[in-house]
Amino acid sequence: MKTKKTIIYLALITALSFTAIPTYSQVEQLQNICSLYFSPEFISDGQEYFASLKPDQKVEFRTTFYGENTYRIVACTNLKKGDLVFTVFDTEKNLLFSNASYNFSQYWDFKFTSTITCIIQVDVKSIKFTPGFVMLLIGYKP
Amino acid sequence: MPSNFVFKGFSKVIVVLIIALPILNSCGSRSNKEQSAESKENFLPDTLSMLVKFENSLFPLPSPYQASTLIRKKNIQYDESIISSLNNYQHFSTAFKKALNLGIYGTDLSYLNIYDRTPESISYLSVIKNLSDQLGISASFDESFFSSVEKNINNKDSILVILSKTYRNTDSYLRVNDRKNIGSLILAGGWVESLYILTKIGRGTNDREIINRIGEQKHPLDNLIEILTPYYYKSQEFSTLIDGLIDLAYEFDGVIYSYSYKEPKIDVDNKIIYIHSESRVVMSEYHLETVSRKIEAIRNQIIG
Repeated sequence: MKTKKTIIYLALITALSFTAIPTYSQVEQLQNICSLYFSPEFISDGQEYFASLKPDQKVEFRTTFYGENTYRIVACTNLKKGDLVFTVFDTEKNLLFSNASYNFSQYWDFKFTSTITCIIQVDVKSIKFTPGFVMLLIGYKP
Repeated sequence: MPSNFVFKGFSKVIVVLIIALPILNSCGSRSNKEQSAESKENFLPDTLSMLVKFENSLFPLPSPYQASTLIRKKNIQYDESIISSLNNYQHFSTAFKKALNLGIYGTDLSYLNIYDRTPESISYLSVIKNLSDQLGISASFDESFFSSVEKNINNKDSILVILSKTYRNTDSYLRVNDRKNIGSLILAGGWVESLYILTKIGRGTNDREIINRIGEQKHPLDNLIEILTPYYYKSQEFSTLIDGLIDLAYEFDGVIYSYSYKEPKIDVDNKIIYIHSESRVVMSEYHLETVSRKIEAIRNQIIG
């Protein structure tokens, strides 16, 4: 009887505590992967963006890049299978860049002539959906 | 009473709770929101339309330290009156104020850094450490942080790298520990201070590049409002801050912004893309003055 109650209690706790927030070890794992491509000449914007992947849904980031600045965008995932695609559009939805055309490179540098607000879409191309997280890092070169 | 009956009853209660809790919770919060909304709607009807979230969208802000990089390029004289005084920090009694001012002092430190103000930088670092201790996020400012700063005290870019990395770790720590509200306030403080410094310098020098950078804050401000709005009803302090920022955003609507797309050029070997699309910002004297006045008022509320 006591065991059954304990099982139900644990199941309840598990159900209620299930959220899309990654654990610290998952974040550390993502940080370690992303940091490989975030070289020290880039200064982080002070934020770490991680989001859970949902079936058939892209994660979207909207941010502003200042003119005459060079930025590095690094995108990584903790999924072992599947290619991570990051695509950059302007706000008029003109395609500026997709790493899908460049062997799914985890990072790319962007030199902006003018200040532009961009939409960065992140997605994982995989045959079947697997739950996981994506992380995006943005840094600028001083 | 047979134990099986007790067990069945217990499990039914559990099932009902699982179904009912989220519903009750949402009803309760809606009811609270409605109450709060009713008490506010007499004087703030327009802000509610801003409380719309995109699904699975995130709103990064440009680094507030990029303002310092621009100022450094301009060879503008150091002005100690621009940055927030350390005298007030012991009076910040709430986590709300501590987090906002942690963001403010970070931006001030990046400003001090470009002028090689080492003694002042150390004082600001010490207060940043103190505030982070009080907020329970001191793990990001551990011993290695201070030894790295000490080693690189004369290297401007290294200090910015260390500082940015530390704020990034803090941001990550707060997100993982479900304290995103604190993280969003640190971001807000950093952004408010960078805009305040830019407006002070912009009005003092009339430098077109600085004024344009102020005008370009329209979208980062929209992002900041998006980041903060989930906490609108968390406290009166949050709603006052967000209302102030929304009011400021209306002023940015008067800034003329034009954009024309141009084909980017890619250098595959060096993994770099040149984005040649052009944007233009026109900010009138009137809007510069209004934005300066409003950001100063918001900042005064934070540091006061």
